Amino acid sequence: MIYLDNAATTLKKPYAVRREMAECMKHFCANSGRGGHRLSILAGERVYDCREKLAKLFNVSDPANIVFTANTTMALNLAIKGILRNVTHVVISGMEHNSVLRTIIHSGVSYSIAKPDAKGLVSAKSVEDAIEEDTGLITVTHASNIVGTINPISEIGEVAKKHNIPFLVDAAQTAGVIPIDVEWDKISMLAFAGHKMLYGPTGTGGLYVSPNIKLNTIIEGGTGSLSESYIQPDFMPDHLESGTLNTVGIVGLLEGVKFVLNNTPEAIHEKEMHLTKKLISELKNIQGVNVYGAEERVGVVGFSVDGLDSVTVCTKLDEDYNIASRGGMHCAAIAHQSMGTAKMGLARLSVSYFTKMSEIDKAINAVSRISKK
Amino acid sequence: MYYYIAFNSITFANRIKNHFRYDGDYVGVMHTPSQFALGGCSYSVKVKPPKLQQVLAISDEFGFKIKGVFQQTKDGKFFEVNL
Repeated sequence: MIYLDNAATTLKKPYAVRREMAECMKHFCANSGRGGHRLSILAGERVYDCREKLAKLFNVSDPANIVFTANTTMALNLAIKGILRNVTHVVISGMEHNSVLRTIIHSGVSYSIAKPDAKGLVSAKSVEDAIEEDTGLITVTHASNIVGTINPISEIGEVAKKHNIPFLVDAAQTAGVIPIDVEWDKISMLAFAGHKMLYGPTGTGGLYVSPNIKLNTIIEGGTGSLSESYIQPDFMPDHLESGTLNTVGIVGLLEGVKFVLNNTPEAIHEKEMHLTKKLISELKNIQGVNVYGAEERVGVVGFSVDGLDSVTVCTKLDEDYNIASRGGMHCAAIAHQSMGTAKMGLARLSVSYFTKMSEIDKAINAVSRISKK
Repeated sequence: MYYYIAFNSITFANRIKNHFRYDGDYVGVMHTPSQFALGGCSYSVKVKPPKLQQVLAISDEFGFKIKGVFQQTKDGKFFEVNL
């Protein structure tokens, strides 16, 4: 099968990811930080190594400020619910995933929407215009999961800093493929997926929390530290990281992050853009096909075919052409509302480092044939 | 003979260990004996005497709280060291 659903999760991983996960399962998948035997210590070392490599990737000075989660949604929930107890108003962008929108709405705080332009770009001005006197959080997705447009997080970070408002970035689509520097970009909290462009397995993700931010916990319990105390530890990562960690997943993620660091996000992005530009230019040449998103983007291409429901397009790609893609709303209702695609949704093709140009050619040919039927 | 420097969590102990990974000296991580962990869970960095001051200095630089420094006698018993 041709796999072009990498925005949901990357299917092909570097060989080292699979090898080290198998090795871990065979020899040392013990409980990290929960005992003194050699296997637990070894598991703990690998978990820490992963924290350290992630810190290097995002220019985080203290790896302890990176918390492991099961996915980006869980990381966003930790961040939003952890900070909202003292907040009455939030600014979100009009391109957010449901993991931000639903969490904000469920929390009951008021919110304003920083509107994107027609290509899905959320400008720093749009964010600044949405700020109110009591705004206590700004949340913006780094790149749209439906059209791939990259938002200027560094400029938005400047706005957040100017108004002294914590800045949460959803890097689900960018961690590993676009350089992120939490210091330079003035990011207070960074939620990321381990299983997408960091090439770890599903069930991995994380949250960076700036030392200046003190989040309330939403989960308490065993941390392998201060066990004599009835109170949750106040130091990171233990403050936010209760319960047994996904050791085998984190061992895989470690190898994925090493792969990204060795290749560099810049080079990975360049390779993906080579594929994506070809895909976009050819799709645009097909009559009845409309491509969304801006020039500055990740390898996520949202498109529609006149007269066809997006899910129908993707079902045809799957059943008739053996191509994995994703149609519908992509768990991003507000983003589709912003782009005017809420009724029919969009078909989405998304590449990874391992996508081949021949696969892109086959996808273009398939969409062309589907559009003519 | 080794010194054992006890920290609140395994993350802190592993950060110290990784900091010295290219030094050539042994730096290990172990579960802190209960008598020094106040009955709870804690992890210690294990080093030879010449390394102790370096570990204490870098712990201070990282802002890590040290729960205690101790040594082990030949018969396996631990005792706290007053620095």
